[in-house]
Amino acid sequence: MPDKEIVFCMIASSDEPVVVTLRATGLIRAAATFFVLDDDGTTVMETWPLAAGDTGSADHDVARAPKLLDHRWLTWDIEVCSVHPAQDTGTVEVVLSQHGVSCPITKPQRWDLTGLPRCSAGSTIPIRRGVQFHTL
Amino acid sequence: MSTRPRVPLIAIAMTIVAGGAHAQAGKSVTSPSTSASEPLYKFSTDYDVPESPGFATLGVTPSKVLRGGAAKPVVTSLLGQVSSGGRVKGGVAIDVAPYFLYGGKVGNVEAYRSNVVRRALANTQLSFATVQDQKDTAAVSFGVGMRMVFADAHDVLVHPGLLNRVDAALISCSAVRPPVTANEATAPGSGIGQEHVCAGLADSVQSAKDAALLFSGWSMAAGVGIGGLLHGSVVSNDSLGDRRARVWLSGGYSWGKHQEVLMIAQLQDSSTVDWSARVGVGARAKFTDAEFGLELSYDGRSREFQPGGAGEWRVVPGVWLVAGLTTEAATTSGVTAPKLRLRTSLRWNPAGSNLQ
Repeated sequence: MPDKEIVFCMIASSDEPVVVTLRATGLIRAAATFFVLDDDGTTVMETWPLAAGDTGSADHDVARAPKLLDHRWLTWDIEVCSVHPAQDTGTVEVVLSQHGVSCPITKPQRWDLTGLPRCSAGSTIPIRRGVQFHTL
Repeated sequence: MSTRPRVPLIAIAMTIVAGGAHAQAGKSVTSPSTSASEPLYKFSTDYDVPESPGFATLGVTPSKVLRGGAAKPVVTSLLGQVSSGGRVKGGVAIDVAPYFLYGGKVGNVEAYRSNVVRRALANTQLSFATVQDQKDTAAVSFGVGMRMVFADAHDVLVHPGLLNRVDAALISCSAVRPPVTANEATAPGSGIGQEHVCAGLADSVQSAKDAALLFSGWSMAAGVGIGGLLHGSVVSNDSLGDRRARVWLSGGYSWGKHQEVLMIAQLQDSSTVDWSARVGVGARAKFTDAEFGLELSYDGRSREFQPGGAGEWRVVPGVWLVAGLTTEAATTSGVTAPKLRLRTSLRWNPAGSNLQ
């Protein structure tokens, strides 16, 4: 059985909030529910919805101060589908930033998707992933 | 009697379409557990499927006043034409939207909306059509046409905010699922799950499409095509006859979902007659499962006004039966006189509509 794959996200323990950006490229829709989990990895401390929308990008500031995020988890369920019958490809990405700069992350959270179901068919592809914060 | 000449042209068209379809079918989501290729024909409704540019090049569309609305990814049309002499001839046309079929991309909905060139490319339709020749059974008329759409008031992607309801459905869908725990988030793999049904999503798309149909506004498309008569099975300078070319600008104004006025200006050339013009206007009443239209065009070649009418019925989602009755100038024994023509067409639009 392969080991777990923990992705770490380094943040500064300053007052500047961590910004979560959901990006989607292509004639697709991507919308998500994000969760901040306690360090037990199960207790939800904060949650919010986010949709990439027409521009393909949307931001949300994490309410919890960065210094309180150490060893906490940010996880997400992104639901993706295509809105154009001829384009079933797209890219979805979650970018975490602080002070306007992307936080160092051990593995970029980006997915190149093909064969996406069409929204009109009522089906989606979920992306359920997450990272663990570590303060510098 | 031989029908061999039909094979190469249809084969070429089928090969091109099959190539694109294969390219689609070969795609898969990076997750191995996801269904790799969704058949296009599983999807729902369609609306305003435009006439085949290939048939338009050959002048055999059931309606002479063509639509200006958005292209569909792949459309197959079967033509049945009955002349006043009672003879029937058939034809087939395959229309593809090559931009996406061969890898073209649009960055996002906003880019589609704001970039006219990109939107026109995304709505460009390439068409291959053949029609059985009425007199020479060893010959076929062929047409290759291209149609580019510049505006379509009913294109849901051009109206800001309509797709927010789709986002809301997706968010609801993610919110009802259990929170992603650290254990799940760190499981081996890409994190991409299996395709699943999202309650309310299809309805939200339909709602957005319905809302787009309520907008009033212009649609406009330009087309160009060349065609001819192919004798024998080999394409060569000697085997090509009755060459023709057409360019046209078609457009219309829709008042909401049900009424549309159509206009067309067309130039046509053939090996026997120099360039001549055709202009026409039409009106359509559109309903969910049927459309009815009247039209009047002026043919500069015969210098005649040619009235006509057409009806379209949705047989099953994605399949429309079209029937058009028009008058055309026909020359028999040196005498040119208007003749009635009944043209029927069966259009199969696998994708259902321009937003699915």
